[in-house]
Amino acid sequence: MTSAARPRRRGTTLALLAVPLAFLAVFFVWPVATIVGTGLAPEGDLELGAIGRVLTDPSVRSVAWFTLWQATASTVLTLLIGIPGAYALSRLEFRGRALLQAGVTVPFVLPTVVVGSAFLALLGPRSPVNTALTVLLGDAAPTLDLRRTVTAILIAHVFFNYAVVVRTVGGLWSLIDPRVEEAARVLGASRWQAFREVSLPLLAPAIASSAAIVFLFTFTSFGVVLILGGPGRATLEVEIHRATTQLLDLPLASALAVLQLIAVVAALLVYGRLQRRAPTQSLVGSAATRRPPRGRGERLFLRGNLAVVAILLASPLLVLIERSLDTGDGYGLANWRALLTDERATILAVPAGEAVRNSLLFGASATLIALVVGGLAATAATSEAGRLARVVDRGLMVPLGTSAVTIGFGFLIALNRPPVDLRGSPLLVPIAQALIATPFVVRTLLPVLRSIDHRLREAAAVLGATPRRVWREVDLPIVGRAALVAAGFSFAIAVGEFGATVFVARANLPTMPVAIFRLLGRPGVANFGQAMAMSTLLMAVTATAILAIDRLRIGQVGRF
Amino acid sequence: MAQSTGARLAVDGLTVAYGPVVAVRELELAAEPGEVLAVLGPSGCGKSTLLRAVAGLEPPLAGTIHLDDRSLEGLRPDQRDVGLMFQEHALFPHRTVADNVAFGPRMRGHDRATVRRLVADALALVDLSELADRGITELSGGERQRVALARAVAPRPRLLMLDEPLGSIDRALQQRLLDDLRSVFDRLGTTVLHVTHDQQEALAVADRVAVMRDARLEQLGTPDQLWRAPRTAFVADFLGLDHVADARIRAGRASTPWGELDLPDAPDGEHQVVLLPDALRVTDPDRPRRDTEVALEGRVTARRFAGDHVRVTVAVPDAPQLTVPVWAGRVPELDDELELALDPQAVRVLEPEPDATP
Repeated sequence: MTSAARPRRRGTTLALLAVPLAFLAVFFVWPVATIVGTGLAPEGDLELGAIGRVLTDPSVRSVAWFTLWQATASTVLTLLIGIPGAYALSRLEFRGRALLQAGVTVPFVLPTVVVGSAFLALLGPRSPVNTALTVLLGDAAPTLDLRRTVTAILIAHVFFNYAVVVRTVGGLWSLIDPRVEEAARVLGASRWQAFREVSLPLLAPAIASSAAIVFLFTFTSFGVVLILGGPGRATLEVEIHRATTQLLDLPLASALAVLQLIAVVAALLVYGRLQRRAPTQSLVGSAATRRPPRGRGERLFLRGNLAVVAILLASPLLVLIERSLDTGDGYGLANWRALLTDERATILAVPAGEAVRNSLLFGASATLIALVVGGLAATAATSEAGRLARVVDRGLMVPLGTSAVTIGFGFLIALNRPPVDLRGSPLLVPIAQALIATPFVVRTLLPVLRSIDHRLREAAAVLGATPRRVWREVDLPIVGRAALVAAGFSFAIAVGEFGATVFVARANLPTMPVAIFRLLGRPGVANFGQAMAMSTLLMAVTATAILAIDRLRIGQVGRF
Repeated sequence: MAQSTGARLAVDGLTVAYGPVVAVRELELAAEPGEVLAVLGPSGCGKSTLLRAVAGLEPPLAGTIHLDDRSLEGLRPDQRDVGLMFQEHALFPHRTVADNVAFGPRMRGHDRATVRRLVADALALVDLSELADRGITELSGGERQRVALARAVAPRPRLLMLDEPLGSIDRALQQRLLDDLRSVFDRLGTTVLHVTHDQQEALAVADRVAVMRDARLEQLGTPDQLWRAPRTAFVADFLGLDHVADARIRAGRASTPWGELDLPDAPDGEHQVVLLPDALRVTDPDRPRRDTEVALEGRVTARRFAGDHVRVTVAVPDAPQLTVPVWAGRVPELDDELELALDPQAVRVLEPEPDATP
């Protein structure tokens, strides 16, 4: 590719970078530094003993161990289920394939709280599974209740991250010439040998990088574990939340956050290394890489994968809707009506309608902030071909790897005193959400900006356009669509954001995920039903945003 | 490399379809042990599908495939003991040259010493022993082609199939590789099915050529038989014989745009006829027209230099124009009037074309 970098004075680049850099410094570096400071020096003096105390604490060690092994198990499980799915969606042609490919991405962007609620509904004692068992076996039927089990957490993690594996591995698979696998078959390799000896090594970069991403996401899993886990089923994220909100032990929370940061940075470094090994050129010849399934075995394989998608991905969401209509004695719209009136205002602290309004308002503000910050950063990174661009590029990806809870916790302890005193400010919520959405904005805009042929800009300039006009006439129309995609993505992320929001949202200004979490924490069928109704609503908002993006066909949601 | 005994390939009534598209229709074809059979046809005629069906990569709708007395029906690709060299080669990009070639022998469960020997033999056969430890991405197009050939022959299959083996290689190199290919076939002694769309390639390497068209076999014969007696206008056109015209034949006399020709054995009726390459020549005082030849008067409208000869295009009144090679002596100028001699013995009557739509 010819360099799309626009030779611009370094001064201009720095001016463009000023806003993103300041944003990162105040809202990311400063909070994280404060956490590290508090963790290493709880009383103001450097005291490594605090970290040591935390590390040797048996309960912390068991949390760390649980975090590690559930993340490893989730990653392995997601790969085992996702790789066949990747083959089915990238190698086999069938009706509805494109729609399905977009559909499997929806869970990935669903709010964790929604997913938690959905699995609570699916795996609880009143789930359709148990209803079916009772119908089949009568009163002797065992009641399957997976709530507060590791199994539930693992299933929810697979649900979330299926798309990461399917899209990343499938993306590479569709670049591999199928004749390479056929050549192995003709040379005497069985199906399994051909997969192990040929496909697997060729797919290794994609498998490794998707595994790193899934590990990262499940290691820092918060909402799902908070809702589905129980005693002894807490990740570091949940423990940080508990230490802050229940134990009020900020040094402990900080030490846990430092521990987690170390693990996350290590995982990110591994990921960065794997990314560099990924092949960039296509391996495909002229042959089509997709074909209809042939033979009984392949049709069975495809059906099996479609069943996985249906059971794993669709059923929790359907059960969510079903539960939202369950009033305790039959079906009805009572839960939905209750959402829209404020008769339960005392329980929610605010009427549910206000939570919806808060979410939309915060989400829109966060989208605006993320677009400005991410847009400026992407423009600066495009204009500068050198090291500075790479630093900006990488720097803005870091918040993606840092957990939401760390960001929320950092806001809580860093931004409540001079020099930055935003204590209680409603602005904290959209800022935290924007911080989490900005890497996605940059990831969406950067490739498009880089792909603009620099000669287009030169041609416009030679024809008499001022630099400002060039940007408006050339860059903007091309980037417009990508900006729309970035906006939709940011909005979906902001509206569903839970980990950071739960720390910084004021009690009287809850967002939808926060309201759902509060409802789930209260007893009673009505509260549960309302939580389901609001989860359904939230799911509809995010799913709409994501499916709209997929229509625009820019960017690869959930592909790493 | 030791001679391996080739198997007899028999394809009977083979039909292969992709959904509603029939790629191979009721095909009958047999290759004798050790024979090099070329399958020639334009792209989309079903020739690659034939190979894939024999290899077990496409399930047939109907028909049988036999290697000697063994039916291949229901056998997986890895159970068929055939070699296939893919179009664009499909080499394993993550393995070295030697590892690519070793794959087949390894899959057949040979011990390490045998694998090493088979690899060494195959690499020597294609003259690539020096590049054994290279990565695939470091090879040139011609080298890749040879690796693909070595990989296909290393397990000593009793039937070797090649799908456009020279397709992705530039013209100049093709000529040399063509000679190499034929000598490799001769040394192997295995039965070969060689698929190509290039008539020169087919005529150069094959003992017999099967011309395919629209999923069907159009003609099967030795290169000489095809060249001397193309069965249909399609075959004639595919071989580069472009002097085809309508003729009305009655009692051994054909009236054609180029005049009345004596074709004693031709059947009566409306037919197409084709002039073979040696049917036409420019007459000159040293080689006057013989009595059996028909005279044609024409004017030179184009000349094209073709290395050792010049191709002269001559417009004959009320008839399709003719192109004649002039090898030596006086090359006519543009607009020169000249006399051509047409030898009716080098004129063939073609069978009627089947309906164009399959």
